[in-house]
Amino acid sequence: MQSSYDSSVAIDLQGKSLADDPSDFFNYSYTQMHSLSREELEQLQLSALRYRFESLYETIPMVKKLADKQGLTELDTLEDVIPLLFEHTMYKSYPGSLLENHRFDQLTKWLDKLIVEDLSQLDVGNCQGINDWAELLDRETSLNIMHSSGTTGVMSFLPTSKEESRVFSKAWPVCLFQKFGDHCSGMARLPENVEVVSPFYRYGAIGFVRGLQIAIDGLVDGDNSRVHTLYGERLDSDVMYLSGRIQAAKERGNLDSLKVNPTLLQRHQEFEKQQSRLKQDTEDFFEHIINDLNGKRVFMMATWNMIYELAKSGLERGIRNLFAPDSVIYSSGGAKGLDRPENWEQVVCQFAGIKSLTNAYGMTEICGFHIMCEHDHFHIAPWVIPFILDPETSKPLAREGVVTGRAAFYDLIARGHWGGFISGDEVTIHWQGDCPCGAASAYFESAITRLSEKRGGDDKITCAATPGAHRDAMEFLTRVSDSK
Amino acid sequence: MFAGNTKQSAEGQFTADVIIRGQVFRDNLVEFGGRGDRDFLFFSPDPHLYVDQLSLRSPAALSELHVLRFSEILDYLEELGARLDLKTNTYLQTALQGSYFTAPTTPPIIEYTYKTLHRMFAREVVREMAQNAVGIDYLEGWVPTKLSDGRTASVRAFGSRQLHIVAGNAPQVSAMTIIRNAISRSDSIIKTPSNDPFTALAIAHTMCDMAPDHPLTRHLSVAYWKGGDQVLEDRLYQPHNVEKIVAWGGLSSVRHVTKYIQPGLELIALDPKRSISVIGGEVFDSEESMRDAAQKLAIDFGVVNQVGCVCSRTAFVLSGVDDEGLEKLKQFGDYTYEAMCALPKHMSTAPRAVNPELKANIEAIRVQEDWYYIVGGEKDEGAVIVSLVPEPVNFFEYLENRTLNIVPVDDPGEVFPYCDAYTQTVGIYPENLKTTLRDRLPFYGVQRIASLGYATASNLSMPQDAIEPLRRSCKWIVDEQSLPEVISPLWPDVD
Repeated sequence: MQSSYDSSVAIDLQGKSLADDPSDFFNYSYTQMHSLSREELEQLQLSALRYRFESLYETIPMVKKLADKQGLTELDTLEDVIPLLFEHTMYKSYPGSLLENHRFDQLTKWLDKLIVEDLSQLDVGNCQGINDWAELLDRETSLNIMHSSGTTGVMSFLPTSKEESRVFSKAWPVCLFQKFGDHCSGMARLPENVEVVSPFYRYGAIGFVRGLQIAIDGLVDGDNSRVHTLYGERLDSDVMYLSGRIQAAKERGNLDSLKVNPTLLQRHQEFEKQQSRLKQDTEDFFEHIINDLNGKRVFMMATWNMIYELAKSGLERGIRNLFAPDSVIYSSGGAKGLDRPENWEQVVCQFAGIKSLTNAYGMTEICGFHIMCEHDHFHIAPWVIPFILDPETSKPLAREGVVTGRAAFYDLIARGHWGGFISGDEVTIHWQGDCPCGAASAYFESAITRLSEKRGGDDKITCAATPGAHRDAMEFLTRVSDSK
Repeated sequence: MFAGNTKQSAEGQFTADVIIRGQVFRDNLVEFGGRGDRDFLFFSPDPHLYVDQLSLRSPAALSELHVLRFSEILDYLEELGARLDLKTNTYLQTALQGSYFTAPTTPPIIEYTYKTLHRMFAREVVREMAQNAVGIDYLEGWVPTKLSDGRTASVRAFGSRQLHIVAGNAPQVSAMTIIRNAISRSDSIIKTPSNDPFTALAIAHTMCDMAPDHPLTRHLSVAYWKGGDQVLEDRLYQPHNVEKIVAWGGLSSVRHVTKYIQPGLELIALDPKRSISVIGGEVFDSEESMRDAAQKLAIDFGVVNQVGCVCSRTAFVLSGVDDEGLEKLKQFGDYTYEAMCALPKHMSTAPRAVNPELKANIEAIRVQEDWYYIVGGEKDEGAVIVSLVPEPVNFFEYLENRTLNIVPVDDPGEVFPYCDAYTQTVGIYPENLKTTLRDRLPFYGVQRIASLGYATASNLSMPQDAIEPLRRSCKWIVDEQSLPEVISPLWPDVD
């Protein structure tokens, strides 16, 4: 079949515009984003991928290093990029002591190998902690680094750029406020009269809060008067990191060997005090939402359990249909170890007065979300190229039919850092795009599991230890003593 | 065709029988999922139908074990050992076939383990275990001691009713459990794990054939049920059925057990562990000493593909962290990797399955050449990661599949922060480095100190994980003889 894009020059140009600004490329229409045939889309993606590779090969030292090692000079197919995808572990591949000892000079050098911008002239001499470092990078470079929660005692740093966040933010109104089949097109438009709600911190460098900022930029153009967060301040990155280290040291039983400077320890104690007030603060925050956002159109972004708690307490007080019906409640992940009650979505919808919740599959490392349709399928954003790898060999699995394996992605929006990324998730993809919702795009099934959870079973007994087992043991013991 | 305790059905699947005190059951089969290969299944009699038979109705039945002479126990185990010959024992042969699917190691390693299993039953080995771990006199009868107050106290180690949740990463655990049961004259129920449902069963089957009516045969039961099966465990894990539960594997097995622990039901927990090595600067004295230590270190982390708790995962080397020290350390890393690759197949092979998370971690640091020097790993054969900074990799607690992290240090004391209650063995080179370390390591949690190269060759008569499981599995009973003419009586003197 003759493609409508028949000249390769035209395709290259289009691939470039897809990568540069996907929302613009698809005329700000979610329907258009998911209407291209697979053949058309992959042709565009390949030219976009080549465009990225050509410019990033010379500018990101780590990409050059990997490509040279593989002898890779150009990409003939999408799959050619697979040897260059970064493992998710790349963003924590520094010796842990560098962060413990605040060696931001070395950490900056490490980061420098992962990005386009040259940080060699950046003076980090005054950085007393992660907050300082992140703020310095925010202020003086093109970066908006995102870090992980650090709950295992190790913190990942993802060098996202401001430009990447800006481009991604334009996709939020399109992907979250439109449905497939809607006919919206033409221009970038902010959804009208939206209030952004997030029961967490307003500022900080942790991935979730950076995501909130992208939402705020994309949905209310950064207007702080329309933002409602539980805490208006910055989430202290150093305190988060310290909490993770304390936890890890407790599990190892060598808390005494942890060296912490007194100022930070004091901040940690303040943080713990705040944590002990969390229940009351959350109730106050709920009160504010119920009183002040009644009838308003909201965009709420939170973990499922937070949203559920709010809805449950609201319903108990007889509150129903609180928000405008065109509100969007976006649940992203959730607290570990808690089982979702079967009816939790109904409870939330009843309370909020909306038809359904918005679910998406995404990750900090990718500027993209794959929104779930009414048939429980995550439709893959067209600027994100999916790969399914054999979990053991990392070799690509077939790009046809229904395939289960490890998810990997190339994020075409990425331009200051490398968009190739191998996740730790096992997914099932339907390549043919036959979803009854009408979207032509490939999709993931809703059941997504962590590969690390799949390893081993619940009845395999071994005498060799891993810390996961110890952590489980700690949690278990705490639970046992709590219940007494 | 039936070929032993585990039979291969037409679909190529296996059956694990239930054996209860000499009686073999292979009916009412239900399906269980094994571990190792994702789709491996085996069949076993529905354990719910046998739970009441599993418990020893009358504890007095243990008396038949206590009239045995210790020499008879040795005779029995010696003959059992002779029958555990892989060449002729069809139970073992079939169990081996099944283990290829369930075990975490590879066929050459499992086969070698099966071939050598009989060595554990040798007369001198068993005698030494009984003598060192309990004391043969105490097992044989009453041992009198004259106490300072004049009384004579006689002590005897009695057997008990036990339940064992055994680890499946090494078949020796099953064999050792059976030997310990015989030594202590106990009645044991072995709950097999899904990563080794076959070894204990093959030995029990051999016992049934060899001496169906012998008391030692009639006080061993082997069954599989899914750990945490609440209906079954609620019934079985009661003080009137079982007095001691020996649980390997920490939380994954203990999780289901702790709620049953109460007065009268004791838990002997053999927690999961990991091991490390410490190597002194003498290693760099000569080419020979480097090769020698590299060989020993390769054995300590490479044997049985690092699935054991005794296997080393991190080796601290007193090389210093200057350029010269690090260059020598890299060379030592090369040698260690070469020695690992040269290990004979029956001891060590390329790992059975890749751990994607570990691989991702290795690949991410492979390109960080200022901090790490990595030898191997590209073909999933195992790897030696040499840290060029004085700290283990961030994922040091997750090292497996023949992956060793060599870490440079200036002082042996830098090892202590990495030792805790989960550190079982520390293999040390050279010997004289032990004298300073062995008085300090135990405070940090270390339980065993070994000569480098012998970490995986532990002697079973020694304490395990800083406790004495065999001694604890006995009931220590006292008979005090107090004569009024020697000890002044508690009652008033009528004269």
